[in-house]
Amino acid sequence: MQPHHLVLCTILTSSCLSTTTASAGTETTADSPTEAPTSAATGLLVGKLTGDTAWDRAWSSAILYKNDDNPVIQLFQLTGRLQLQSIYGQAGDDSFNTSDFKDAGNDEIVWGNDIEVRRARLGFKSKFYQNWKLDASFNVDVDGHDGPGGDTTFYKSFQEGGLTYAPSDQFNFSIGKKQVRFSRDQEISSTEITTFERSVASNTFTPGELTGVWSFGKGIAGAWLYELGAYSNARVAEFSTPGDGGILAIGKIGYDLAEHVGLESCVTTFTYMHNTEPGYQDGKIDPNFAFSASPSFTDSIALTNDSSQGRFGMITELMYGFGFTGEADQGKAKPAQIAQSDLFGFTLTPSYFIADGLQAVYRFQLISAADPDGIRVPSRYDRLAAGDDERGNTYTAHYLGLNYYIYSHKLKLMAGVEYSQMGGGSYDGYTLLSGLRMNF
Amino acid sequence: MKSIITLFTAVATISVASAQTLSIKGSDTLGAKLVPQLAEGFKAAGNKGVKFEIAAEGSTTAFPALANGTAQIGMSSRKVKDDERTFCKTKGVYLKEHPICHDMLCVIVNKNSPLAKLTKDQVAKIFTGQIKDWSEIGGAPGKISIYTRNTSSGTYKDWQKLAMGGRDYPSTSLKMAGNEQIAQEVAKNKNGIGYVGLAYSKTSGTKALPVDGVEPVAPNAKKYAFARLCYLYAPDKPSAEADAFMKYVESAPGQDIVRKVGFIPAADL
Repeated sequence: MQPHHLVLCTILTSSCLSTTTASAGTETTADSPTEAPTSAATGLLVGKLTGDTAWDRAWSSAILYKNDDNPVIQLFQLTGRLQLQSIYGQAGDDSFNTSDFKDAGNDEIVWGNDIEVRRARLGFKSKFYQNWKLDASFNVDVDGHDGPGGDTTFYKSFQEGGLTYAPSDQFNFSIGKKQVRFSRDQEISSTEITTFERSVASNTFTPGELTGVWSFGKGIAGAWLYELGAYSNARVAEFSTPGDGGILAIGKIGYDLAEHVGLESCVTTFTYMHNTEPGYQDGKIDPNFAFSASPSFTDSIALTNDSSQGRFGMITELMYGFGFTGEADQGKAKPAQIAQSDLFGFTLTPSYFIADGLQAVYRFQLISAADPDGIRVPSRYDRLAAGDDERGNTYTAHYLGLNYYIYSHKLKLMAGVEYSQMGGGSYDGYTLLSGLRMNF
Repeated sequence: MKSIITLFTAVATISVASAQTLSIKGSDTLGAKLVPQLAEGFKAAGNKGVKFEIAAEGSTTAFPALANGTAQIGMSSRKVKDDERTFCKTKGVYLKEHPICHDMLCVIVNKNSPLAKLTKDQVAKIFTGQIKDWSEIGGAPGKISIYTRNTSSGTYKDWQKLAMGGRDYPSTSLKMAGNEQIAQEVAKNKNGIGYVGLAYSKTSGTKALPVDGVEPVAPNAKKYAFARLCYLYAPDKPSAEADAFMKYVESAPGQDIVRKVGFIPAADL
């Protein structure tokens, strides 16, 4: 073969290869875009899972039926979450671990001696008649022995759920039971929080899951959001009756400053919460449900900001509670005497994706009380070393953690360490945490 | 000679490698006509080596595709939601937002209709069937004929959200294949009403009505009730082809195509 023939062949071959490469596959040309198959039903019940990847298709199997064109029901999906974690802590010469947590009366939520089932829930969500939603979430037994007398049981308590009329993003109205979300920390689902536990400050103010009515919306006049709610103040395993335990009312207004400050998101909110019966506690006893007392504050306010840009995120919270002094009905023969001083809380939680799917998180929290004994050491783990009566007037904590996202927030590994100190008291210790969280 | 062969082999290899595919997924509002025409314009501008895959299956499909790497550019007729952006971040994809145009849906009636304006509330009631006769809102008596896009169109659902509060169309509504068909039917029917893209709002035999006092003309896109800003999304570190295409879309020739297809370039307002 002559050299110029070889060159010619090479060019022709490359040209053919180029053409073949450009036209191979199932691509749609620019002149004929793929038509939208929007009318097709999907979901496990119709045997059609959706998604680009095996992960997507596996998770889409929780959607039993989805069809926007069905005039009656548009969606029925199973939901659930399982959160497992293990801890080790040290305070002075005392150490504690998950086994100690189990021995401290938490037998039903620890597998073996080392794995705490932080949350185990099942439920569903649905959409019907275009503007209506019905959802529910139940706490479920994880060892099968939480029924009366150690019998097998499955259902433990009703966590959240209700009926929502949702004609638009700007207006939603719901009736049912929900976790009343006072601060930004509480607003973010436990499936998406970047730390193991919410801050002590926000937990101190939060009234938990209550029965009531609420309305919320966003995107009003571009960037405004709101929430209004009124609830029975009794925290019970299922639903309480209207006005049971007084009334807890909450109002929230927010604005997304993103376009003004050049960030992806910069939502600032102000929340006000009023409680007619601070310290109220239902007197029932149920091994599967903690009938905890309502926060001991008549009024609480929070100013928060949640900003993000690219790899960076930052949540800032300022909270203040006006303490209640007086008697509170706690279902006992005599009313409980409450003497809670005013409380100030501050949290700062920056986060940064240091590699694909790997996020570093830091959180600083500060709580300050007017009275010398205005703050108790957090109940979950620190009291294993500090004891129930450890109090002080200034609590500070530093958390540093890593989150590895296997499949976004739906399946992730977490690890972290938190150092905390009670000023005006004697507690000073750290807790190491590791865990796995999944939800669908 | 060996060096010449090597050189040409290298050129051939580069030629093969340069036949890159640019995958664009998402909104059918953008993907039906605008982005394909932008793709043609991009190729005509000297980028013949780029092959386009355009899948217009709804804005919701854009973000999983970007996160999973099956699309290099996402099309969306709304802003990305927080959970969609977070999903992308956890996959190592940090989205960059490119507002490219306003999409305006105009309400048209027959040119002989005595009506000169409508309110947003009246539009919602007409398209949901609560108002059935023109006399109920000051028009000449006559049963209202509603013309809509067909159910497979993204605009069909978009109009439900934008104008009807998510409620259903009445069963008597007449479903048309596209803007042109709606405009033609409204032009023929003195009791007709429909919604069309801005490019079709001046179709002979019809007139586009102001809504809540705002004329449906391009300069009013930001305040007109049934207009929305549309976006392209790409990773913060896009491929060379995606980067070149985004630059073309935002260039003067790209914006001309946006105008010709009937959208309003974001940069115009």
